[in-house]
Amino acid sequence: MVRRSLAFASSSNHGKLALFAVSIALFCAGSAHAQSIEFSETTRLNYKGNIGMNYWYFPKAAPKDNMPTHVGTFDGQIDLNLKTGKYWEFRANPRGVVDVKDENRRRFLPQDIYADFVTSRFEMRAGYQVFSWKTVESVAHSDILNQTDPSLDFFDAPKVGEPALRTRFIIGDENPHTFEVYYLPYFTPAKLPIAGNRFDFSGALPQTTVGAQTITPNVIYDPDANRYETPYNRWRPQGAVRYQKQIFGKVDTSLYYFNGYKRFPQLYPVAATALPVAPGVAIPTQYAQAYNPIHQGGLTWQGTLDALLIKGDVAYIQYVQPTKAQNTIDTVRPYAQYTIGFEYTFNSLFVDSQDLGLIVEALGDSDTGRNAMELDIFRPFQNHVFAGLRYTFNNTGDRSLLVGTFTDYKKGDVLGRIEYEERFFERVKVKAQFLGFATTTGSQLTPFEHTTRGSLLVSYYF
Amino acid sequence: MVKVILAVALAAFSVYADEAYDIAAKAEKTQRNFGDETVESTMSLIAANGSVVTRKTKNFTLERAGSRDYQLFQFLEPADVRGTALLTHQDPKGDDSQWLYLPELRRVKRISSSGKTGSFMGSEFTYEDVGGNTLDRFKYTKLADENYKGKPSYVLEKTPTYANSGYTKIKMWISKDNNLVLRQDFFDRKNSLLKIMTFDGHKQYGTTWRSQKISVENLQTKKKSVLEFTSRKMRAGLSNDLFTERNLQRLQ
Repeated sequence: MVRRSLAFASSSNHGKLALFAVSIALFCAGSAHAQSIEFSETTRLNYKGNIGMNYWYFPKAAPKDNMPTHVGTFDGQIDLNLKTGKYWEFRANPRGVVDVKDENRRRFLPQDIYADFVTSRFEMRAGYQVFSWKTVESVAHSDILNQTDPSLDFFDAPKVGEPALRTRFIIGDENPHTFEVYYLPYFTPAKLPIAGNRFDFSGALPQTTVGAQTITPNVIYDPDANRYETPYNRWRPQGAVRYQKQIFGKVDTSLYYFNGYKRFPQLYPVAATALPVAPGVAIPTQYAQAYNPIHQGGLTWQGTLDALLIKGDVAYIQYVQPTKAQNTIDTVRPYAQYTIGFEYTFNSLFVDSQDLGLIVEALGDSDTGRNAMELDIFRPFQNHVFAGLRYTFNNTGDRSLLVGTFTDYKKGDVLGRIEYEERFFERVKVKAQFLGFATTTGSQLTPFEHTTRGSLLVSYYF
Repeated sequence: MVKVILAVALAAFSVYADEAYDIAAKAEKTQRNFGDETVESTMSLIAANGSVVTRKTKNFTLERAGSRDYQLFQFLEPADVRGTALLTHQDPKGDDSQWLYLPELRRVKRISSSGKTGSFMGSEFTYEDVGGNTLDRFKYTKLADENYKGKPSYVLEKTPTYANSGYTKIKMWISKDNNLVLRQDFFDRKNSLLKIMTFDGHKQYGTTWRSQKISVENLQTKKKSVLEFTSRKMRAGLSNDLFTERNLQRLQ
């Protein structure tokens, strides 16, 4: 069944990817500097896009033999935007990703394909959409509407477009009240990294030793095995309401409520070993995804306080029905998570016209200190401080250097990243990155140490 | 006697300050009464070694009572920043509210006043320069008149009254015949001359004057930026809706 599903997904992806590659090539070839075609005074098509190559090198020893040390992908994206008349806009912004070796990392991602009706008081947008409720730089707990694709990159998982209807009501002129209502008719499950993927986190699952044999379970990807904890399966309607308002003249706030499946799944055993430890006891060998509906409410803000940019994201999460923790014994209790921080820019600190931006954010979880197995899923950032420095050279290539670290101030774990970015020849962008870990025993991040990596991305923009 | 001298000196200073403010007010008046404005701009960034790259933007401005203008910069080139947009809601006396839309992240990010002295698109212009530059944000002092490029000109020195400016003072030359700003010299926080901004090709649109070319030369880095304007339109009926945070992500 797994093979059938993967084969289907793969052949379907191949067709879409081929068509997508042809359309990108046509736009690439035809785009001098125009990036816009005017059909009439009120109808215009704007387009832009990029194609790129991404190479990753993983220097640490892999815990499994089938994990690659080198990964290469081709990536392409095109953004078509048709504006017609006073009220209508249509957008298609698909992305294609092709892993050179791993078929399970080849994707056609629709991202945005929607129609938008816009007036000064009312907006309605229908189709595949990528939303962003993000106000903080590190972990945005409230940015939850879209599923992500952790098998492409576990720690920078790209968002997947969700089929949705968004309506927006605007009341007032100078500092309006903005109300948004989101309706998502069906759920998009996650594609978790599986065997052969460097981000495969099976090693984090409980292992059992039976005599001389250690049983290491695997996470599998089989859409047919996905379990949805409501009778409507993936067709359970999901929705959100959101209210936005500027307060104190300088702070943008939003208050929201979401009801739908939690995006990152829990795991449940789908196969067990034939060698019971004791009569009646089976050892799980394969895990599939289980999705539980949640209530989530929260508040986000970003604003200026004198020379500082202050921002925050606080979320409260409660499962709609009693849900077991990873240990299958405890019931997950409601919990809250937060990220609060500030940003400050030092101008011409070392060299004239070059800037140094400082970002500091504190991350917390109301279940801090509890054993991870008593929690629902992967919730690693519980007592962390994110500190980031961005040095901007303000040269013609917009060269920048970023250093960011997540530090667990209780345990001492560190997740760090160094990033360099620059534009060359006006259309080519180069990004080099190193991401590494220094973790302690028992940390939720320890199973990911083998994903320490260096990467190089070269993109051509048209 | 000392009190009398002080009083006379203060009175004289006050007269000079009032006169300086009046001249600055007249200069600002030449820029007003446009209703709304749309213009395309090409910015040439000239490195110290003479190499040149260009940036393109489309700019929209809505004139509002009390100089609470709205301004929107839509970035067109280079290709990787197309879709980026900067929205400014001008505050005539305090800090402007500024938002930057980053299409790659799909995020609207506020800019704090510490970020406003940073470079705008890698140029010698700062966010502070391209944002609001209204009359009541400065204190003015009149200096001795000069001839600038053969034109009799008033010379003023203006000092920012708002916090976190990148400048200690700006010296400006204003033509006596039509009250147009011809040149501004910017002094950095160490009070050293940082850059010279010149305004050329003034053109009148109804009662409103605009310069067609603004050049800025950084004397410390030896870099230059030249901003040239084309396709300028005024009073085209732009509405408030264009200048909203929610509209930022629709600009392509």
